[in-house]
Amino acid sequence: MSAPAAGHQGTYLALPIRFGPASSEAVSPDRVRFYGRLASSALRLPSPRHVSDDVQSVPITLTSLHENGRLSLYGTIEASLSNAELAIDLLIIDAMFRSAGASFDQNNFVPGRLQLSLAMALRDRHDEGKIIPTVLLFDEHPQDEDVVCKLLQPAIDDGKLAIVDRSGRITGSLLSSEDANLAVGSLDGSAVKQAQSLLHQKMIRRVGHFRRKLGDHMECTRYFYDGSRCTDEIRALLADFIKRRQPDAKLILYDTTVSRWLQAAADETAVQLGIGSASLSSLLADRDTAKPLAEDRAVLVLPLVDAGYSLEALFRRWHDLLPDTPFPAIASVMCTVTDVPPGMPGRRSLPIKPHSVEVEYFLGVDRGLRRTPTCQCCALKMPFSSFEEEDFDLLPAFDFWELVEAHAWIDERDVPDARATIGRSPDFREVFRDNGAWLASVALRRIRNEVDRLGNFQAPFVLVALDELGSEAFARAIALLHAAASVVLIPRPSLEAFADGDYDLDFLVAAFGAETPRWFLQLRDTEPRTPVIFAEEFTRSGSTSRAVARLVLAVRRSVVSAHTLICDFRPSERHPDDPPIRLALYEFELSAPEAP
Amino acid sequence: MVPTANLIIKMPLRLSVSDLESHIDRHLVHWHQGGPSDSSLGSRPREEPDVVAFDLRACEWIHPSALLYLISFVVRRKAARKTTNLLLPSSERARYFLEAWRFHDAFLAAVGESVASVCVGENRDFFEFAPHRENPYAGHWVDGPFGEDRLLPKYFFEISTFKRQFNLFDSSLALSESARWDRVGQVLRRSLAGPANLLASRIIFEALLNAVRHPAADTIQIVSFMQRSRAGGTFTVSVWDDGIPIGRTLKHAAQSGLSIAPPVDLQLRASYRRLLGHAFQKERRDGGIVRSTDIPDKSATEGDFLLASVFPGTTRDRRGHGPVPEALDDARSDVLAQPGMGLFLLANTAVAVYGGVVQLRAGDWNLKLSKPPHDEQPADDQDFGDTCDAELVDYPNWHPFNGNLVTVRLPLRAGAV
Repeated sequence: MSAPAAGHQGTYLALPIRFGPASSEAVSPDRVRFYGRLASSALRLPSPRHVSDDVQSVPITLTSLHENGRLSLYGTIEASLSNAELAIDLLIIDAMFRSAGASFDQNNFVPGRLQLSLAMALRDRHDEGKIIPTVLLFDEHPQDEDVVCKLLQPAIDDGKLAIVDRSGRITGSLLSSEDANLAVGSLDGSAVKQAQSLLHQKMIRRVGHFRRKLGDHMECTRYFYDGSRCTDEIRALLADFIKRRQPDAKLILYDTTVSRWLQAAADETAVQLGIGSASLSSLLADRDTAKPLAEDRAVLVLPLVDAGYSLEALFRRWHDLLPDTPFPAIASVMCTVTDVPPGMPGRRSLPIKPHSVEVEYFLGVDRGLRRTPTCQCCALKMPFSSFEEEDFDLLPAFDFWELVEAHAWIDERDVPDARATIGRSPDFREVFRDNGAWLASVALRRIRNEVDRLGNFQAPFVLVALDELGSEAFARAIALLHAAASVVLIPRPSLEAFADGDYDLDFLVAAFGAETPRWFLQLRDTEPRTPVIFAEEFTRSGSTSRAVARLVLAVRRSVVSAHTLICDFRPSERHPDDPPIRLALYEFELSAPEAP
Repeated sequence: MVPTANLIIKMPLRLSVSDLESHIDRHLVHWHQGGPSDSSLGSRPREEPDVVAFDLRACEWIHPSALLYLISFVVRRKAARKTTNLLLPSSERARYFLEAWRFHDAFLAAVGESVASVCVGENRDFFEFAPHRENPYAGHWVDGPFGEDRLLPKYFFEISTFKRQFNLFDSSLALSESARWDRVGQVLRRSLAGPANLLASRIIFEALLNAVRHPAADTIQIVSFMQRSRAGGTFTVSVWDDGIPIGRTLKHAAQSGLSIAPPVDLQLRASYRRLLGHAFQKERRDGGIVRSTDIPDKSATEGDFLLASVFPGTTRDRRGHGPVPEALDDARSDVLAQPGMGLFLLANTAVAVYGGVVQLRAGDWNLKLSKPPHDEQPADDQDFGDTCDAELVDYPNWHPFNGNLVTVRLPLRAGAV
């Protein structure tokens, strides 16, 4: 491609293909910047400022993979390409789903048929002489033998197409290898930030009565941090730590004395980096087993650093057995913090005489330590909680009330028209902020156990929530742990038409005006047989859940399979229009409120 | 004490699918030679013993794919009102291995009765006390895209079973499962000869989608296993369904007047050998080059139809899927986007991309697809076709295999996993 004249403003269209959600999604600013870099390089423009963008994500739904003609995957792709503005200078098709360091994310299982359909659509456009310069982004480069590569080869040979993969490898003359590497490299930094953020959101802080030996005495804690859902985030952060701090490491050592979930993340990081992994305490059993530690550079990863007693014990044992070998660089998934707010990464120096040891941690947390003499749970003779699994299906009363009492109660928000306010209510938004992953994990387990078709086969489901703070926070927290869940947020005014059995879908649709709202399209277009679950923070009269059930029936012609909620204030009441399964994490019979 | 059975099939120290098959064959031949006087090789249907005991006592190592074969065998015999018993391995390690792969759950799901109820002999009560907490091979929970998964050490899933009455039996299942298996692909990515994501997104997806679409399939089971050696090793994934064998389905379609011809000639070429006879009597015949336009006629064998199923689009009409989507008029576009692509894409990915082997055991036939030796490959691949060696084996003297068992073996490069 020849260089454009000075002052030329190039135009590109980016089509990021995203799997699962039913309708077009917002694309992150990082991603748009990445497209800009690619476009300016491909169009030989001085900087991304010289390109104007248009980014339209292409949603691929389960339906697209079915065999029905009009909805075939090829048809979806072909339609998107046909919609591409012919006046654009460059088309970027983004089928690169994997983030740096991650094993997989919700988009990464898009079947090979997507690549195949893309290849066919581009091949057809090439054969018809209609192909515009195109950069195709894949996670991994197709092999020469792959039918995808064979289909695309003519367009590559004609200089109309370049394939760029996640490692920056490029095929085709549209872009130089350096440009592709620079652009792809810009994604890595944002991936680490994203992993930090997700670690914070997905780390499950189980509330219970946990007792363990700390140093030479026993301690009770209210929290146990379970990182079993954060394997990918820990791997991304650990890999980044190793690249920065110990790039020649040949071994990842871990300590899983209490937190067995760490082993999977450590092992998979080791696999990703092509190095070994082992339990440090087992290697420090005696001089013979410790020998490999003297031979290879290693890093140590811990689940959590608190007072540092466990680390000190490992440190002293190391120096007893390997006096001439330096202690490895230390990363900890979590570290208790008191002088800074929890939720952020950081470094901490621990005095271990005669040295001090520096620990880099990925997430600062509040440990919730309760020294034995003052432990309320002990005073109430509450049994100790298991570190391995949840003890109860529902939240114990003591835990529930401690969660909601941790924050000041507020005047009830978003009161439905159908009932009077309950007055003061727990601030569920704050409760979710601190405990979202745990509440979501308990709710998710109940959904899986009790909703038909979700037990053995961990299928996708649609999470319907109200477009309100508490309901949305709960639904988002569940979806974060269950990537196949699509969240659909319904504005409360849209429920008005469904307040009783005499509802009218046409009335609702007529009120949409020129633009059909996104929630409606999402709800209507998701796979018809996908179960629908309604999520909200609590129920008082059930009017909201019944209205949602009627709305879902009208829009999708399917029932709401279950109603998941934190607190049920009417556990003994059942209405024929209620969703058939109500899965509350806590039940509390509230007497009828007085009229305002 | 060994229980009373008409036939005890002794299994070797190391048990793979081929070992299992050849041992069954060998024992049945011997049984027939001393069995009913009207039985003779080549006559069908053959009598089979009322009570067969699989003697696994000598087994120290069992390939998980062999467990699927064993289960399919028991299911078939149960349908024929025959009894099959198991003598569990004497080796504790091997018994723990069976438990870790959740053989008991897979058996119960497919056969409909507990494995403990068919176990006889010395360790017959082993599964009554499952799970054994001390089992060193037991899996652990990890997070996955759809929630938690249980992985065995070395990152393998236990045998997964899907039943039509419980699960979404369509592309959703294939999609969900391929998402889980993406983790396995990523673990293997340094060892695979091709892009890691193709393991989940093509091989698992296509194999499961095929299984879901096989007529009358009510049960699907999937398992994988890795064998490492200094030179590399092999990763194997097997998918079994209890549906009608694909060769029979296609033959029936052709006999019913349905077209099974792919709409265009995609220039997929194959040479094949047909081996006739049971394990001890192989007769070799070169089949020569087979093109996608060489559609078997109504009188052809199920094996010929099985071979035809490798060609893209061949199976598309069986369940009424139209040849061309309404919105499209380009037949070739339809060919790759529509059903009937399963075995073609499996072959392209597993054989052409990864350099592996695809094996399909269905009915009386076994079809093995592999990469031809380098010097036999054509210099110019026309369009986007591939060339592979297809080897057909007929098992005329034994009861048809129950359902379809697809086994994909991928070579692994040397290196850490």
